[in-house]
Amino acid sequence: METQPAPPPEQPSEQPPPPAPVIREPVLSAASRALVGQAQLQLKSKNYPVAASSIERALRIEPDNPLLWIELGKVRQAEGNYVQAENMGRKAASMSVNAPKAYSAAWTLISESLRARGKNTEAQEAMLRAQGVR
Amino acid sequence: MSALKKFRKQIFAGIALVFGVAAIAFTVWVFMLDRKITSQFEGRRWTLPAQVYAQPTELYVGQTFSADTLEQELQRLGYQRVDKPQHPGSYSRQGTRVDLINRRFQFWDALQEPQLLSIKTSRNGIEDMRNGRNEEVPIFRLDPLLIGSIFPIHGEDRVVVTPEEVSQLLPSALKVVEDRKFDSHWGINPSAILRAAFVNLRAGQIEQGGSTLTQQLVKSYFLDNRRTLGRKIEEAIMAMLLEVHFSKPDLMNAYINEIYLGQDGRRAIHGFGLASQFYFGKPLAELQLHEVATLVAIVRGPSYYDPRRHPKRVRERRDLVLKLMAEHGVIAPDMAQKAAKRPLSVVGSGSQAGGGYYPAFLDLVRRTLRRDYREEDLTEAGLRIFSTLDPSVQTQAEKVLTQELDRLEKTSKKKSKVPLEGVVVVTAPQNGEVIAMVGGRQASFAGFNRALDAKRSIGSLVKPVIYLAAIESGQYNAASVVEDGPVAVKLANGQMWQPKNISQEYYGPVPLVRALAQSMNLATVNLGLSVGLPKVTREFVALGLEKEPPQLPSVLLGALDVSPLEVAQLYNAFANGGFSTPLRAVRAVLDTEGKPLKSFALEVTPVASPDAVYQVNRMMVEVIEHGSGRGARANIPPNIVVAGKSGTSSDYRDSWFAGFSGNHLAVVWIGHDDNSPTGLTGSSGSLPVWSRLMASLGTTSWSAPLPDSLQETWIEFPTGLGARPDCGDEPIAIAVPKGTELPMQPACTTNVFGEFGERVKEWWRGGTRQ
Repeated sequence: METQPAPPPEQPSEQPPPPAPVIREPVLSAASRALVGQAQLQLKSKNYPVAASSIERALRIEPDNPLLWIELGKVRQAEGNYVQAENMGRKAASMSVNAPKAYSAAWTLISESLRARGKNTEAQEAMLRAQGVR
Repeated sequence: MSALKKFRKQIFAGIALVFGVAAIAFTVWVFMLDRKITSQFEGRRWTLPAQVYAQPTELYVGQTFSADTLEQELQRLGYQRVDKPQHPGSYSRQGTRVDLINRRFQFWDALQEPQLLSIKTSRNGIEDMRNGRNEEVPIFRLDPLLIGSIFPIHGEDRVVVTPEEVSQLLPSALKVVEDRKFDSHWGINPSAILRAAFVNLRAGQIEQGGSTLTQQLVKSYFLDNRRTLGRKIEEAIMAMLLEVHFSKPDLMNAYINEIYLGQDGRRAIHGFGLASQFYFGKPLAELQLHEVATLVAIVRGPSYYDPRRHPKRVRERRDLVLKLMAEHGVIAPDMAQKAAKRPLSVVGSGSQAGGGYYPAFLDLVRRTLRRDYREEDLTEAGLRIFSTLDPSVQTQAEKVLTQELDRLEKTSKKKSKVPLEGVVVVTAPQNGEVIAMVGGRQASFAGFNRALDAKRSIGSLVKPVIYLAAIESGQYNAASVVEDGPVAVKLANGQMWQPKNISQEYYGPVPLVRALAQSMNLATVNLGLSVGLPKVTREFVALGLEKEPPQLPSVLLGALDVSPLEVAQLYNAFANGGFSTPLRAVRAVLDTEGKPLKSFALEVTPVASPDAVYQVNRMMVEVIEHGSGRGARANIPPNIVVAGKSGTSSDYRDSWFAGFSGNHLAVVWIGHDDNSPTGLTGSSGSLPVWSRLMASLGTTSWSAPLPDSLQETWIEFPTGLGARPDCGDEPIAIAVPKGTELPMQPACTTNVFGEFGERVKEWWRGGTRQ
């Protein structure tokens, strides 16, 4: 299956090397946006498997988009599966290089999932990462 | 005379008694037949094999479908090309524009109603998609291909249709051809029997049957072809009994779903619903007149009138059916004439829907579900199973494997008595879905499923796991130097273990990246022993191998028997950046009413440090660029970054290649079933299959972002000394932890991490850009 990655604006290679790493925040494609919107409605009616299935459809189109892994983690969080919620957060974080917003959202999810399981110290550390303090 | 008179009373009594007993016996017999036939009839209507669907095709703006690809997809689904789509299952095409009306379909998460879709494509893919009200449609699922069913041991397979799903043409045609008195008779048709008897007597053999549809139904229920008189009487009585209990429309519907219409290996094709898929690749409701007539023609003798083997014979009978339909006013004569001009248009036996054509994959589906369901539930309860199979990838995998095995056998100097066999497993690495599985050279032959059951020595496929354990230990990076020199390990049994390189040479001190890329045995053994066997064997389990390998030095060289599917699980963790996700063949299961029973949700588990995995993956890219996988570039364009590893077991018994791109992971195995040597290495046998397959899938680059804690640097491939893109022997870019200092190649003593750091990054980005 061919997929189209979220189109991050590709900078021309002729530019002089910038001093700081280029920030490339992920964006959702139109198809993913529609599916995430659908999933959020399904989540409201507590239809977790169906909501997850909508996000999974989007993930098949854009498997490298950390935002979708965060969305899937939120579905798991809502249904009380905090281990998977945390794992989805870690997966998202590992893909959020040079994307501070996505990185922060991923670690917030991890932190919340850890807290829900009573792992308060680790949750605190995760929150510091989410806030960019580390 | 007087005696007769005298005993008249007794004689009458005796006769009455005999008749009475006979009558009672007859009644009991009829009663038993009644029980038998009614329970058959009522019970049989509900034993439905589970139906398995492929993954649905998603249409969305940006999907890299050309109009041609889209049209192929629609034809695979049996959509009919028309001038202007009016009904579900039809489409039109004008240049790069495709209009279609989809079929109604109950997915596991939503019901998809038919709607008109107008799709504009360009060279890059789908550009615009709108519905009938000219509103933009962001994403749309086509109804999935039916790829088979899980039918019981006795082989009876069917797709049941309701009367609403049957065109009125079919019952009318059946009546005209098989049983003209169907609407009025009470189960049997004496005049037809007499006529048949007369014809048969004259011919001296049985040429014509006088059976009504009801009698044929009874016969089919009991799968009995004996043509004895007793049998005939029994059948006739049962037919009459059915008529007493059930209405004509009920009986017609049962007939349509019951009757035998063809054979596909072990699988018996029953009912017009499945026959329509089997012969025409589309639902019964969408059949055109000439296709309906073909199915009615087959009823008379599915093997004698097999449209694939005897097209001429079937066509003659089809035209007879059309003629009869016109004569009896079912259709207008000009319709019959027009339909008779059409070709049979039966789809090829390898390509049609509804086939047991992916036995290896269906076997995996069945085994997955066997954990949760009883065999009877799968074969009788009418479950609908949504699988992960991608039919186009599956078709490519089958084709490439067969062609390459043929080629290998032709070019092989040493002729072997046993044929070469092969396996291909393809997954989508990020979600662990198995999208294709070929279990042997004859992909459509259901037999030994090598993809799951052939546990073979994986040779050098173990190496990335060892290198991962080494890098995770923090003591090694891709440029670290290990010694490729003589190894001698004393085993527990007192014997000395002295492995060799395939080339029988020693390469001396080499960097890790080269040792892996060129698959050096001795360097790897030294590395593995220094990391420690327990760490290595535990790494296998962490990555997804079910059983921990024995802690033996020979494991470092792949003396480990693993099935191709397990290899896919192992490598999937690499392709997925250090996250393990259980390989899945099933997404969801629905019951007959469309209620979701079970879904197999996507799960990920971090199993290895993403940074360490990234470093090993970059080394596996060098396998393709500079090592044993170089041959892949004969097929895969240079701008597509892929990573992988070859494997060869001792004496060339097994040839392996496992590797991945951005969106596909594929494992290929080639060997002999009797485990005799093939003379093939991983690179000469499986690599061409792997790379041709990857190229044919139009796969995307592996392009994981460089983790924050790592930096890129240039080294000399042969020595591991620091280098520059424009300086040193075979300079390559590798990923190492930030702050790593490498001894420089004296000729290139500029600071590689300063001004060149950015150039390295640029080079890498340039290389991964598509």
